[in-house]
Amino acid sequence: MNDLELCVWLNGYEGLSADLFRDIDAGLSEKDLLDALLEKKKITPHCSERLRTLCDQHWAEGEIDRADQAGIKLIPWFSEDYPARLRDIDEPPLVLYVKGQLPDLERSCSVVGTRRCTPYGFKVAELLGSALAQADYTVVSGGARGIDGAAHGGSLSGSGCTIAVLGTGVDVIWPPEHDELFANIAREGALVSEFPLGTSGRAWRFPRRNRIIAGVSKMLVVVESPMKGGAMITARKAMEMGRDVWAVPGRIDERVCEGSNRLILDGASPLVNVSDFVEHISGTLGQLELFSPVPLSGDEQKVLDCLASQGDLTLDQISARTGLSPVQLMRITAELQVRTQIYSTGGGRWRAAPR
Amino acid sequence: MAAEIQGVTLRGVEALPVEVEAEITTGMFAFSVVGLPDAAVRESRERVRAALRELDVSIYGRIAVNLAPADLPKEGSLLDLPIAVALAREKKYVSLCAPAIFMGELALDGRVRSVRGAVPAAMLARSLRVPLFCPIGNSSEVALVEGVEAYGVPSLKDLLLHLRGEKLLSRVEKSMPPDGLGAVEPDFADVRGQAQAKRALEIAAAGHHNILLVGSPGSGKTMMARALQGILPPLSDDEFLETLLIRSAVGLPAPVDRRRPFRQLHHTASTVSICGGGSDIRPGEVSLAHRGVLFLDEFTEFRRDLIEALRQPLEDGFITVNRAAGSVTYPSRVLLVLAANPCACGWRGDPVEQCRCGSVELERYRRKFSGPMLDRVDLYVSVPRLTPQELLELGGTGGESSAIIRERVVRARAMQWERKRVTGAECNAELSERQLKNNVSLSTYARKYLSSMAERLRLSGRGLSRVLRVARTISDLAGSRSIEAASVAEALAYRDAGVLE
Repeated sequence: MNDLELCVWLNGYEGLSADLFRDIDAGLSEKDLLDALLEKKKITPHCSERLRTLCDQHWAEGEIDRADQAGIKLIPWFSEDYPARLRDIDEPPLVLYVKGQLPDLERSCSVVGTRRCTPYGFKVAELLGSALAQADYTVVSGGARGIDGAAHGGSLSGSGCTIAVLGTGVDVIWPPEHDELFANIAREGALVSEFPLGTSGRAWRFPRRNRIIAGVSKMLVVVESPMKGGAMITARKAMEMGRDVWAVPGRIDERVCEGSNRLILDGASPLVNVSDFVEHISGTLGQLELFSPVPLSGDEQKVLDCLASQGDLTLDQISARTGLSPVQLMRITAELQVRTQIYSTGGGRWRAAPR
Repeated sequence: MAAEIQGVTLRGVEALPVEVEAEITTGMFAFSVVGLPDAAVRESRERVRAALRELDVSIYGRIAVNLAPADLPKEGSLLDLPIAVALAREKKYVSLCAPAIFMGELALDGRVRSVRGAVPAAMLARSLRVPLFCPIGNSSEVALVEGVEAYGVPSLKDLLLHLRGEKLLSRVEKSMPPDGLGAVEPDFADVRGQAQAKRALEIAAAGHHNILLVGSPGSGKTMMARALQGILPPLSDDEFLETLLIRSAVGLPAPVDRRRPFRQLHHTASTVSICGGGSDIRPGEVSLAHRGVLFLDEFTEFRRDLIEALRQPLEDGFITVNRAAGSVTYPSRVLLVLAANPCACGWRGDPVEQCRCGSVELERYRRKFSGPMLDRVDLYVSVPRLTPQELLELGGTGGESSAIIRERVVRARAMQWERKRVTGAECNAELSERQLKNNVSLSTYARKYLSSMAERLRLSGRGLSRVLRVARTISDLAGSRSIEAASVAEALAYRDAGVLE
């Protein structure tokens, strides 16, 4: 068995990691290896039984064949391509399944948050994704609904490179409405998973993959997260690993921001301005033109100023405050929305996009 | 040979002539009605006998009433009157010199009760060039039909006196309702704020565009949908008769003015009540809303089969109902107004209440916003629920009244009528893809603007057509012959993305 087969084979039993190799000689034959692991209590007897069956069935060889046919690259623990930063974390994955091209992870930033985000959180994540892309940063996230999807989408819209670390096999599309997004990610970046092909989404797998999201980048941004959320697990792990953790401040009366606000209290840096943040981490102070001023007509500027001073306004309220007729406003809001300068928070209310 | 006594029977909105013959021979008393009568027709013998006895015409012997053609099923109580006249003639009480159509249900004391189907019967009488004797209660409907010689009959006695030439009934005078429109409740001036939804409804009325309103409970979706009735242009003479015919077939009274029908569907309604059917092949709600508004409140709660059943009549503008008794085609050109909550619990995006929907629930709910109905919707509008504080801030700015908006709508419709020779479409919503390409007169700058926007927003082909149709209507409202970029920009505000965000 070569290195790749060995890693794929051991990875066939869920929950094992490259920690196995810390004080075991990887060059042993399969039987001896299992015996040695069993003796050192690294694996349970049940696990040993299971691995023995997989070995007899030549499962690892079959899995590698399947991955080959699907155009999925396998990066084992022993490979040079294995992300350097992941080697230092607890329980590093034995093998990474990669669909797409794994970019250089030196310039990468993880963005995570809740699936049930507010329109505000969604907008911030999108903006963050696109700003990071313009600073040539890779956006790493989990491919889930809500914040994750927004961060990936933002990065793609800024024609950047983005990585989704999945809690399923890389060939499984979950959530189903993200099929187009995943196709785009695989083209512009990579879908990554440690789980064997065809692994379905289960509640316990998503927190487990969070250690990869936390470990793979130098920094992590939590956009919106309630107290008990997957993003909080990621943030805690990132702090343990010594990564820079940032959190986007949210309203204190919203439950979906409670966790991310609490992180700031616990020592995470508050992300108060997207362009400042991106310039700070990329060291390109004043060189990037993230939000180049678009020429606005007088009326458009009026509407934008009105919304920037207070958000969540209906068209009637904007009309009352700016003196513009509703018909004019329909036109102006449509135009400003297309230029992503304002966005709808649902129910016919508008906000100015954060800068 | 004596003149024919005719009655009518209804099949859908069509009245079919029925010749009524009676024969009395000596023998034991018996009263039989032949010619496929239904239970209501067969029971007419008791009403007819009692009504005749009231006039001191007593009937004895073997009585046979034949309804011809014999193979056509007859239904309803409206054959009471011709049967009574036929028996009276057989008893030599009256004589008839010219054929005539009689319709009406008899009370035991000889009064004539109103029936449904008077308008189809009047149209039949007009085409056969015979006089119509209808219940006096139906004379207001019959008065709306041009060129028919009709008499309103209060009781059997009056009718027989008329036929004997002793005391003539007065002829029903033709009278169309006035051109104007009475006050429609609620008026748009009563709706506070909601400028966006009001404007969208104005566009919907002007171009006959189907519209979807999305908003939390209490935001005023239903009220505004009802107010739409007041800004639609009044019915023309032809349209008025079309709607009258359908109303008459289900026994609804004639409308007092030319307002367009407004029918609200409930999501528990049966397919038959919506599309029409039953043993007598009545028109359904979708036909009753013909030339008017069909409103589906809580549209996401509608069962799949109801939506599927609505799809064909909405697409074709007519519906064919097939039953054992025959098949009837009803018109069903309606302006569709859909209303829905933004999420399953209804409070997504609300400034006060918290939404309690999970992401899976949201996704499931969102998936309901697709399919045959929404493909036909041109305007998507969010209706924000205002907090009490915001309502106070807006103050008394009710805005324009329905009558003012209606004037603009009528002008915009007139422009569409002018174009009808070229486009063949009665309203902008009916413009086909090809006509949109050729006859929409998009200005050069607007074309450039639209194509750049379409790219940025990744508009589909269908989405692009929607924007063009709506932009055409906005230009019509502004009285402009060509579509300018400003109209396109406004039309983009009503596209489908966004109402569910």
